[in-house]
Amino acid sequence: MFGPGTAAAYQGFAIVRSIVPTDPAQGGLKAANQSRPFAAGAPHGGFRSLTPPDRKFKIQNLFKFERGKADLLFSLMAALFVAFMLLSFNKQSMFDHRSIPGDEAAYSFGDYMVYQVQNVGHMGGLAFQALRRGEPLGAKARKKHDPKLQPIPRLDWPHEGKLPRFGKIMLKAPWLMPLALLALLIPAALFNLWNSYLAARKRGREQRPNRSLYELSYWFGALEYVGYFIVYTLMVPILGYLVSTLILVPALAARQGYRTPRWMLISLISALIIVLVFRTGLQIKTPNSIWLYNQLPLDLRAFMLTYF
Amino acid sequence: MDSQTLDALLLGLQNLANPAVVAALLIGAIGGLIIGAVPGIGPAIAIAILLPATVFLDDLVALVLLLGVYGSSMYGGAIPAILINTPGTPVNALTTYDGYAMTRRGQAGRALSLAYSASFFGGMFSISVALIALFGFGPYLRDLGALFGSRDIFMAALLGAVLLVAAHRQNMLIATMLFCVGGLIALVGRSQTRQYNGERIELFTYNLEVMSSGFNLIVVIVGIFAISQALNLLTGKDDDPPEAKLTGGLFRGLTELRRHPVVAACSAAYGTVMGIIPGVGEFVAQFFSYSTARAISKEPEKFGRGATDGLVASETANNAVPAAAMIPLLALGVPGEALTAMMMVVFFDAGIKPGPDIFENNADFLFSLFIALMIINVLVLVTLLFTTRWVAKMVYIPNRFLGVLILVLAFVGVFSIQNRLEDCIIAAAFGFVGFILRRLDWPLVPIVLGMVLGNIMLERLTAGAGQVVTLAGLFSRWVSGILAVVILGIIIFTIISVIMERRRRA
Repeated sequence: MFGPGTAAAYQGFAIVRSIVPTDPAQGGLKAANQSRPFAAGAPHGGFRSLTPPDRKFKIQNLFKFERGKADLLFSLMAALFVAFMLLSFNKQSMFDHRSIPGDEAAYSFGDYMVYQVQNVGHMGGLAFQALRRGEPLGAKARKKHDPKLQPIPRLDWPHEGKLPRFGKIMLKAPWLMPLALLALLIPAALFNLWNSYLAARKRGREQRPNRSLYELSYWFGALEYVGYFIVYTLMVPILGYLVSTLILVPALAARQGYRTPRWMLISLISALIIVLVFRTGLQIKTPNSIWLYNQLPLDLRAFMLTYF
Repeated sequence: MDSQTLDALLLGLQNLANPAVVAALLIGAIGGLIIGAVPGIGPAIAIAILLPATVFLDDLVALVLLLGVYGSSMYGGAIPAILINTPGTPVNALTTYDGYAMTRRGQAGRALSLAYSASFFGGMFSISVALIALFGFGPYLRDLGALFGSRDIFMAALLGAVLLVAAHRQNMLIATMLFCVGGLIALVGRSQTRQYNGERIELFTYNLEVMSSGFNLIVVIVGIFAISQALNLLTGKDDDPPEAKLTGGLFRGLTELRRHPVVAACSAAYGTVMGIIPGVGEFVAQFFSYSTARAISKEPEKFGRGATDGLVASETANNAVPAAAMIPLLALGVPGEALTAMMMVVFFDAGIKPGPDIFENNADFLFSLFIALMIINVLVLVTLLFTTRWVAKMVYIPNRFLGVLILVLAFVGVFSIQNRLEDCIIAAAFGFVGFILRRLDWPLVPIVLGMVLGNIMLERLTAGAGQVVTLAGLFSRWVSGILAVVILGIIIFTIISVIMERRRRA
């Protein structure tokens, strides 16, 4: 059934029919039958498979990332989010509450950080030299009480007064972590936006459709199901977990097109199993007061509240 | 082996002899392989859904249940990969290459049994490595706690973050961005205990009451993983899988693994090493294993056309990862990927703090976990040999109907955590964002790891602050110093290799 001819045909999947203008020797186009390894720098060349190309899982997709439709739009939204975080940083991270001990107010926050970075370089350099000489460091040096082998001395504090402890004024400050994260986030978001713009421009040059609006409408399409989820969330305190689930699962299945009696039955049974496993069996919490159960006789109400 | 280690082993075995644990073993193992066999769910979504339920379970029962799902899903994922060319879980991707080709040649039974035996070997290999380490180095491991201070754990978490970003080679900017966003999400809220200059610490709450309690990690996980996938399935189309024909006996391939000792051993070693390194995981393990198997094969041209070596490489490597991935989580308290990050939540609920102290305080618990993983592997293998025909039918559950079920299950999970309907709305919001990220092919894992590692870093930084006089004090302990040098090395190496790759492409 699958003779050599078929196998040869299927081998074709690995041949990337690229029209990327990279090879000037061939009129600016890469040869149509030029085989490309599955990933850049692949050590052993490409893999080929007998599997038909239409249903094939491509190995290059394992690590490949290509910016798709509406990537620029979302990157822009991400950058705006970052800008919002930056604008609210001062108040929302308690940075405006920071205080550097009063009597040392002669130096600025910037000076303090410059000193810290210089000090890391200074102490690191001394440690490196000590290691090269084979001298012990840290606790071992302290034990020997040899003045030459004392812990690595730090840079002199260039201002008046005692050096404010880094741990106390920086590491315990609530704004340090947001500051560090934003310091990474801002350049990452900006570079990402730039890369996304370049990718969108390349798509335009290659006359590939960008279709951001189509993608945006697709995202908003999903909001319909978010809406169902929220409606379900609001239904549970009124009708209870059992009834809400027995309504939602068949309704959503019907919305998805599974409307035959067989699928309705499967939906109902699935809903019942979910309730029996999670609520009755595992006793997972649901709202304490349920309007529908409150209408029931006292014993039945207690039973329903406990198990459904 | 010293007497303390032996006591811990016996206690570990005793912990497992509990009906609830046995039930969790069975449910986790069988449930996991069914979940793995259904394309569209995968272990991350299943664990995200199960996570809230585990809050009500005993700690060991909960972890064994989740480990069962984690450890067995890859066995199940091989079934659709081999029979219909669709990987059940993403890490079975390479199995399709040679597995499906074998099916087309009428050797589906042989391919499946070879995949099972390879998975079994991979799983047992990494568990054995972990157990040997526990036995052999037990006394030394107990001293690890004294070796690692707060600053060292901080550096280890930072190393995990750097490795995570470096592992997202093609989209490092996005991974960095999402990791930082995850870190910021974790910070939101009003602290109950910490004060700053006489005021209670309150970060990014914008004076909204709903924000003051912060974002619960489980709520975010369920939103980002489960609800987003439900939306993805609900708005997508049903797959139309071809008819799965299971031909040939399932026992034939079991002994065939003996013919591939080198490939199996190399792949298991790759899986174990890659599992231990945070942020790397199954994809890189199977990729390297497959490449190596092809390089050392006498018939490399057969790869992708039903080469048994290729199948063994892929399945051995991916199944060696779960046990190995537990090692950085347990030894350093630093999860390397999403699934172990989710398991960390169970540890916190149980009051067990993963980290170097665990060898001193909860060694029996460690033995219980690894022996449970061993039993899970045996259970799954035996179950699959007799039930593959039925499990294979799971492939035909329509995707969109699965979406309905995931959406409903997500609700109960989210609501049960704190009994708050607001959590459901927060999860829905994160689900929607996760859905967009999935559509754009942006990775989800950095957000969750950003939350988890961000919390660890903050906690350790604050705890170690007292001893730090200058910034250099962060690196002055030799463990933290070495880790800082490793971090710097990885950053420099990654930047150089990216620049070189770009130049090569240009």
